[in-house]
Amino acid sequence: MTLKRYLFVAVALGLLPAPGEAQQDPQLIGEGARVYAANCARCHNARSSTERTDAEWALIVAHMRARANFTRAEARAVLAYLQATNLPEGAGEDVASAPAPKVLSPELLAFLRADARDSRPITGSPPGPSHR
Amino acid sequence: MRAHPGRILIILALGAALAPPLAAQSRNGFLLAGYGSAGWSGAAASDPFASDFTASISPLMLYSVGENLLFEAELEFGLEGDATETSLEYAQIDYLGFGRLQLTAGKVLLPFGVFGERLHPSWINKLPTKPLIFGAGHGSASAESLLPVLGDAGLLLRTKQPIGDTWAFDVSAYVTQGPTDGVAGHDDEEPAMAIFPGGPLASEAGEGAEEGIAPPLMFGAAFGDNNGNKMVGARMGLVRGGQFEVYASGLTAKYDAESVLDYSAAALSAEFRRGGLEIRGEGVITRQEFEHEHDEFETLSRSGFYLQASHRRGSWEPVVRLSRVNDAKVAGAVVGEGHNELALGLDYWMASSVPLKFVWEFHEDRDSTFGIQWAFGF
Repeated sequence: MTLKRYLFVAVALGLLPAPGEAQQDPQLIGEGARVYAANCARCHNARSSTERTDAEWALIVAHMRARANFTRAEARAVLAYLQATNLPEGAGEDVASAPAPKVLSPELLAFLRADARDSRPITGSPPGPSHR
Repeated sequence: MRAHPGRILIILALGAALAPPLAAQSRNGFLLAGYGSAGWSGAAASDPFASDFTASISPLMLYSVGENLLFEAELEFGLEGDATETSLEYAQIDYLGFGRLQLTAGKVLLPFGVFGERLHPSWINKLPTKPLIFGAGHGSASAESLLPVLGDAGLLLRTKQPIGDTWAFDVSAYVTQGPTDGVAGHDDEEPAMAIFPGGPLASEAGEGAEEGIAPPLMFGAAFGDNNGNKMVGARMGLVRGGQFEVYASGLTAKYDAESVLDYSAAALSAEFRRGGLEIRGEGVITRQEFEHEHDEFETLSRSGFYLQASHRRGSWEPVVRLSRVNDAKVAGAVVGEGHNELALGLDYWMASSVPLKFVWEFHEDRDSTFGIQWAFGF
């Protein structure tokens, strides 16, 4: 098997990193909200993003990536979502009144705002981003 | 292209060489998390009245080196009856630098079925007890169960391939030390988990050897292996995020010192969720070869399942679970009677990770029991 073929198989298996993955952007946060709601409640109640510091979430998401078999892109999106909504008390109102990023659908934005205001666990699935 | 160990190693090496450096994007970190519980249970009609108090705490230590390397270990300190138990649930290193592949080495919770790997922690399990097939009560498996919560030392690979926007193909495969028989050495080592197929209850590994149909098996009993044969297993399934999942699992190993006797197990697991409704179930079959007389071999076949439904409304969540272990058979003949258990539970969620659980369990062959458990994840 040639080197080119080995590389092809490595790429197909996702062994190589996806280029240009951004840590923080509205689209990534929206994707993180979707993955968070769809996967975390598979086994347990999802935790509020305000329960942990951003650094702690980085470790917990790595742990859950190994346990729940997230892809790296999914793990990065979930971490971006948790850190973006991990707001100090009272800051949720700022998020609630913030202008809507254009990449998010109104339904998804409402979901994010509700989660930022409310520390109750998420039990439903948010709608997908508007770009899908 | 045929799978060849050399080719697989070359592909993994290429991926590792081209993946980002371990500490490229974030600093090291440490976190102590985990879960704990306290519970009480009593037999409703026993005379004199008998009850048990249980308490356990399971600290989970997470240490990351950059973004791609994670060390995690979970201990369990538990009080059960008049004994204090200490065990290492898992201790593993995860390499997370690949896009859709994970490598894990160490003592791992095996992805056989779903309950053992993901659902058994007290703050996640919706009832204070395990389904019959994984051992009743809070401890390890007993003679009645088919399997303990499986943990073993070895190498684990996982991958997930998205299918469209909502589905994913989820695969885990592992090679571990495998089970050992309770009569072939390791006498000085504490068995982490043991099952005694076809035999009466025994309190320590080895005691059931003369009384059971087949030798007792120990999983994760020692990091050393009693033979050159490794256990190989895999779990694969389809997942539709948050709504549906179905997994098939299988494992096979030789468990005796001579690498002659086979042990194999298979499981089918499924879950459906909609709103606050959750329905899940798991069926397991096991086959254990044993030497009946000199150079004459038989196979002990066992099977069982559980079905569980729960519905959360606000802070309350009623739960019902039916568990069954079928008759144990050798060459079609029954060598051990099966039994049923019906568990009716009610959970009160004090917070998203703090359930207060109440359960009534009705057994076919013994007194019903009542239990309370207060659990928390931290």
